[in-house]
Amino acid sequence: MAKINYNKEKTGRILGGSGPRDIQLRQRLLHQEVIKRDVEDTRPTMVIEDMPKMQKVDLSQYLPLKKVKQKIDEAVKFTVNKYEEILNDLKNQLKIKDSELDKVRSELLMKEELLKIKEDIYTNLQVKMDKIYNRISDGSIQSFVGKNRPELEDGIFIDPLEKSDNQSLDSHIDIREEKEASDRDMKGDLNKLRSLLKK
Amino acid sequence: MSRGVGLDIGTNMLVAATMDEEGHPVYKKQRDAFFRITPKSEVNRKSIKMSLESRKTNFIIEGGDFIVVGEDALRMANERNLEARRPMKRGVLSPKEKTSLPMIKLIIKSLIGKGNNDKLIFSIPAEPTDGEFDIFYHSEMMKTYLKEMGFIAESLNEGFAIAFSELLDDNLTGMCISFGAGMVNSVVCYEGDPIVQFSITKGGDWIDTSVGKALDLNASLVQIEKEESELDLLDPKDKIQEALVVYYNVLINYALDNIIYELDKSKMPSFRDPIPIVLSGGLTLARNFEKKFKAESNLKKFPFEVKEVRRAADPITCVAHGCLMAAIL
Repeated sequence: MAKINYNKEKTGRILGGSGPRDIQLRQRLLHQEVIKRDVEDTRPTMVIEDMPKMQKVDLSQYLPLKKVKQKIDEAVKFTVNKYEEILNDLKNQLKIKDSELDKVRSELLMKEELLKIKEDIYTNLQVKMDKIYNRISDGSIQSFVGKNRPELEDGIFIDPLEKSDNQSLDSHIDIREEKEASDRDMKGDLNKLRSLLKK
Repeated sequence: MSRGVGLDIGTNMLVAATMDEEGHPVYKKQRDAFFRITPKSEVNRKSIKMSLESRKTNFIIEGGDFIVVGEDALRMANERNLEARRPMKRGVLSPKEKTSLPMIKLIIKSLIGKGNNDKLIFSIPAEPTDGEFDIFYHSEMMKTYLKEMGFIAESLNEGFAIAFSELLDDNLTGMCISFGAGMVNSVVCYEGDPIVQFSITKGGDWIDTSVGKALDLNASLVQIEKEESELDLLDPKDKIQEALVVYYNVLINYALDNIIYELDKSKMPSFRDPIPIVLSGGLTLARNFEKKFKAESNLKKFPFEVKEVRRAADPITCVAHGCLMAAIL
């Protein structure tokens, strides 16, 4: 904040107490006095009314301290017993469940063993079926069912052409030969084929 | 000395295989498609005959009609915006195509010649899983006709024939899938035994028909576009190719789903090592077919570990080659 210079020369004259700060101070003091008077005015009204007198307690109607302690001990014991019973019940149930679980486990093991046996049987059967299939494919196994049963010979072909059908035709067809450009070695190929077919 | 003959009787192509004196395979192919031309007059008949002969077209004369055979049948049908006749459907001959049978016989005769009790093995499809047709009728009819031509004929499953041709270095163990015109044939072999074999009744013809329907085009035209436009399954160039790629994807997925379903259902041996998958058939000629198949199959779960996915040395001749091996064996 800028400082305001007081340029007036000091004359040594004493101030008369009539400045604004003096007036302000006087007003504040006046106000404090008013407050003080108001507080004092309220003092006579702050009178404490008569308090009710304390009645004398009759202790004969209460149990003695020893008895109370005994009763508390009994209640604690009762509660402890009750919860111990519940805990025992739960332990028994847990034992039953454990034995049931053991039973299920042993059944599961038994079933796993059975499954393994079945898988072995299935694998053996698969191998046997493959062997039989291969033997059927190569003709070494043939069906014997109904071997001598009479069969209907329905594979009959009748030529739809008459013998004279060709006679009226005069062919002018001349087809030229084509030799393969790659010069394929048929004799070599035939030998390969014979060895592959074991002929 | 009797010679062995292998014959692949496919829905779209007939391929015969024999062995020359030096031990090399010799193939003859013919597309089994026909196109009948009925001349309007005698002059017209003569000019058609001259034109066919000058173009070196294979044809059969029946009464007054010309029946163009093979590749030219397909082209001529396309030039006239018509469909060429296909006597086989889904890998087998049908009794309903009785009028085509003499032509089929002539084509086969021109492929294999006359036999002298020679052993001939011809391919047949496996039983279909998603449809029904009479493989017995097809097989017996072929045996009868081939016997007439002087051969002792036996049939062999198409997939197994591929195994004979392509799995010699894999101990005859692997899976062979043939994506043909009529169907998809699959076989799983284990040390020379065909463990599982089945077919699916959708193939290249189904793609042609489906694309044709979608774009309002002739199926024969789509077939030629498919075979001759250098179709790249990873980079289609125009609208037809885009549609073809869509239906290729659908077919590959359908085949894979059915294959895995059938394999899961079957009693599969436990393979010691991962096994190869060999792809063959005309559809596999499209560029990046293997990549497409591999990408789709990576999303599926096979009941065995896949060693590799590879295309047959020649996807068109491998069935006939396998049949030839079986005939000489």
